[in-house]
Amino acid sequence: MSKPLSRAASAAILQEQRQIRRERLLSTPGLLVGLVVFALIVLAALVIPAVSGVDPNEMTVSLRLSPPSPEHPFGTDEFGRDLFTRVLHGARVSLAVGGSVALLSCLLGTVIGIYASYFKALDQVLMRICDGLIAIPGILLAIALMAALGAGSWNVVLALTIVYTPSVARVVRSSALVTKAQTYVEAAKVQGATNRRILWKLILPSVISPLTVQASFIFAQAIISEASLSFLGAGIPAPAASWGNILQASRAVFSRAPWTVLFPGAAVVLCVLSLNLLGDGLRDYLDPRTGGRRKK
Amino acid sequence: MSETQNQKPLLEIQNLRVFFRVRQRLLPAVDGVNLTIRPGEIVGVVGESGSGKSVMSQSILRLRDYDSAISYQGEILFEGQDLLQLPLSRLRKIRGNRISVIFQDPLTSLSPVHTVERQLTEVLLLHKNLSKAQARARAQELLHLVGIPSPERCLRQYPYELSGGMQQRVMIAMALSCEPSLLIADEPTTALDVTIQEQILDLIAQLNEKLGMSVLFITHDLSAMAQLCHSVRVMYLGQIVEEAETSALFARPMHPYTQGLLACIPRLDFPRGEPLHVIEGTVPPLSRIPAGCHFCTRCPHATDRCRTQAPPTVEAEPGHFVQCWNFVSPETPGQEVEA
Amino acid sequence: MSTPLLEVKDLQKRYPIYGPLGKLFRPKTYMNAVSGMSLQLYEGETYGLVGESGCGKTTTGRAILGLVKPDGGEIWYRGHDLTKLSDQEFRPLRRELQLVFQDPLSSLNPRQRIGALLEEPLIVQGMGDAESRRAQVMDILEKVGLSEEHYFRYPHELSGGQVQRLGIARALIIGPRLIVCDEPVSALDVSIQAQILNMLTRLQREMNLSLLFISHDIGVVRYLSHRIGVMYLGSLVEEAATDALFAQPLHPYTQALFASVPDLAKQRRHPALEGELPVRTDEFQGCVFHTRCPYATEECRRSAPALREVQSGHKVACHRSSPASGD
Repeated sequence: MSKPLSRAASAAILQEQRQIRRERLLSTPGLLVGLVVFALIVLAALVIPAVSGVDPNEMTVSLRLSPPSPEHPFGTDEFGRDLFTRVLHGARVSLAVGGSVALLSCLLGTVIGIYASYFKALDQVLMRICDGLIAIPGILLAIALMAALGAGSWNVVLALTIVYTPSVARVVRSSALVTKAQTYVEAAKVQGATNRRILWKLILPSVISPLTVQASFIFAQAIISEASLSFLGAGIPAPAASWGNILQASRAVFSRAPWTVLFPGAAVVLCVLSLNLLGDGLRDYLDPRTGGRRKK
Repeated sequence: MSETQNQKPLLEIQNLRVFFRVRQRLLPAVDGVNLTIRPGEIVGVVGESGSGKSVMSQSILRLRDYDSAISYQGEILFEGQDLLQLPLSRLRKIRGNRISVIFQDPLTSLSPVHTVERQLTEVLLLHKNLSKAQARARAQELLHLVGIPSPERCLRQYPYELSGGMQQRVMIAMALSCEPSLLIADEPTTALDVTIQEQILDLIAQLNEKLGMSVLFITHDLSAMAQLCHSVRVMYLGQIVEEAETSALFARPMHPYTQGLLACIPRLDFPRGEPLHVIEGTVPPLSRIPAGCHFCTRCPHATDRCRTQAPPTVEAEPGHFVQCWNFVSPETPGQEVEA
Repeated sequence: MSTPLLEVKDLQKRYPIYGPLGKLFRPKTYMNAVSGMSLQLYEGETYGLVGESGCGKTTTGRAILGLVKPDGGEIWYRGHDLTKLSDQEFRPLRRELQLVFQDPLSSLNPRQRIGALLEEPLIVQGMGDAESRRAQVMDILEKVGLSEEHYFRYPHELSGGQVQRLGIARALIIGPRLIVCDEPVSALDVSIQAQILNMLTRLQREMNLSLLFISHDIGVVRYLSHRIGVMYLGSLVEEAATDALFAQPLHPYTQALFASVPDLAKQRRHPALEGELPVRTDEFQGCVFHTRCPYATEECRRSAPALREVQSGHKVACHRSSPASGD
């Protein structure tokens, strides 16, 4: 019997592999920028309202539609509420909705996609249902669902999850199908691995990277959809602050007070942009074909 | 090929170096190669993967120029002009016209969505101001020349409808369409079966005789080389380590690497049951090329001098060059055998 | 030598060929990838299966491991007909039957380190505890000429030769009796190929393995095999002990195949075989080789010759059954 590997030697190898990963991380600047901006938004949404203690629904009628000033950095809206605080509270709602939708639709979509890829009979059933859902324009489907379910933030999450799950399932299924045809899956069968082991140990890890990318895009899309729903009055009911609500309320006054559109709009753009950068960066970073190989 | 010996060279590669930039380091994939091809000559370059033979052949037409991580040094003189200095617009006039290339995998080199006719006539229309009807007639003629039994039918087909051997014939027909003076064949038979490989090698040899076209034949297969080439260069880690007429090289291999390569092929007359000769170790990566002789890490005869000083190229017998400090004559083969 | 370890009997595998409208209609005909293929493999023997691409040698190998479901025939291994077993029934037998792939890198999970990769078959088969499995991994690494420093490496960090050593180690670690090697050296450089072939012969002796060695490289097959079967268009055309086969190849295809092996000593000569492989559809009649055979007669075009023993241990499927004269 040979002796176990010396600690120093194995540490050196692991060190080298970490080094290569670090170099790859640094070679995808989009990922880092997206990550930092998104983290700042999340941090601001969590910390500032808790510290400042300003009530987002507190109305000061004398200060209606006042432009940005030191006390009110984003100005106030037509009820004299502090827009800065409302945008940050709206961020909490939007991020919570976006995050839950991304998480739930990815969980559901992964299970559906993986089973559909592996079992032919299931594939027909599951994918036809998904096709049906995808055939309806997303925002229409969400509005219809909201009409049936009634307004409320949890119902928004539910409706958007139903809207986005099919697209996750498709992405997962197609990359699982690619993996399923790989020789190493065949090799696992030759060793006698069970279907369950092949599904969860070989196929699942291979869909993780397209899944993370997809998740970040869905996060961004869900934020926009939630804003759209709220803007159309089918989302989070007033007076609760959400980016869509704030924008909707500003619609009537934006020629007199453009800042009421500018700041919440910028928040949506910045958040979505950072998530998209994050998603693109992740795709480059996780793609094993871009670097990491020592051959050639 | 003695009558070609005194002619002016068609292609002359002088001290060519090709570098890849990988993680801020310049790695020499080709390290000082000299190679001359005369009109009508078939020159073979043999080497393992990583020897730089393909990079060398691709440099002639600068097929990797899109890759910003590549840089060249030295000269590649084709009919007197240096291809490395030529602007791309003028190089394109040479590509496919004066110098043609065929690759290892015919299916990926042919477009899957166009018929053979479309692809074959395109080259003719591009370089040769022919009318459509003329181009079509010429295409048929070419397919006939490369031994395709029913050219008309073949013209209407898509590449995937053809077998591997037929695809390679179409590739060769395409390469021949402008009557190039040099054909670069980069592993043209590797993906084919032995019986088909033999047919293709035979075809290349016939075309060389009929058309007087020079051929640069790149391969890892020594026996295919023996069948086809007039002279052979053996490459290892970016350098030519041995150069000779084919018969001389196989009769009297002098570089330890050539000897090792020849000995490790399981030939049909090799006594069964005995262990095969091996060259120990593997080709080191470009980032770890040894100082001195590039082969010293795997050479059974390596001395301290081999490990520190690069050996000169010596003319061991007329026309037979070896790059080795202490090349051994073939009478005393010294290959290591796995225990 | 009496009962074979593995016996393939009259194996069939066919693929449908559809008309221009694809799967909307019933298949026009079938392409017989393997048809009437039989072979016996004895304990401790290396059986070389040689043939050109498309002859069905790989399909045969994959059918033995249950990766291809045959359309007919039997595969007997130690009293079990492998074609009739369910996945669950097959699982314990997989300990004894293993496969080495042509492209080793793609057959290894790119996300696993080598240690985990080699441990996987043991875990799947429920063998040993963590400690003994680790010891076994170290042991097998040494046997195939890798070292413990590779334990934490990923497959793509190794060179081509090392990766194939790893592929072989993975097949060997559960202690199989029969290994199907599907072109294990054809993707390797010659100098590396020799290292792997030497290692395979050494391991076969040490571990008393039976090998079904599938390759298109006649030199390699000849070097390794005790007996050789020559396949053409889905079935065997000739089978004999290696020395007998090379001393006197009887089937015209075998003769042509041997003649077209490029040799350093030979200079250019005329190709031994014209034309290419036809497709063996259901309508195909006669001897499989008649379209390219220089000796084909009316009889060859009409009826298929059976594989029969013409000398002890030397079987050939040809109407010119008496030992062929001359070349």
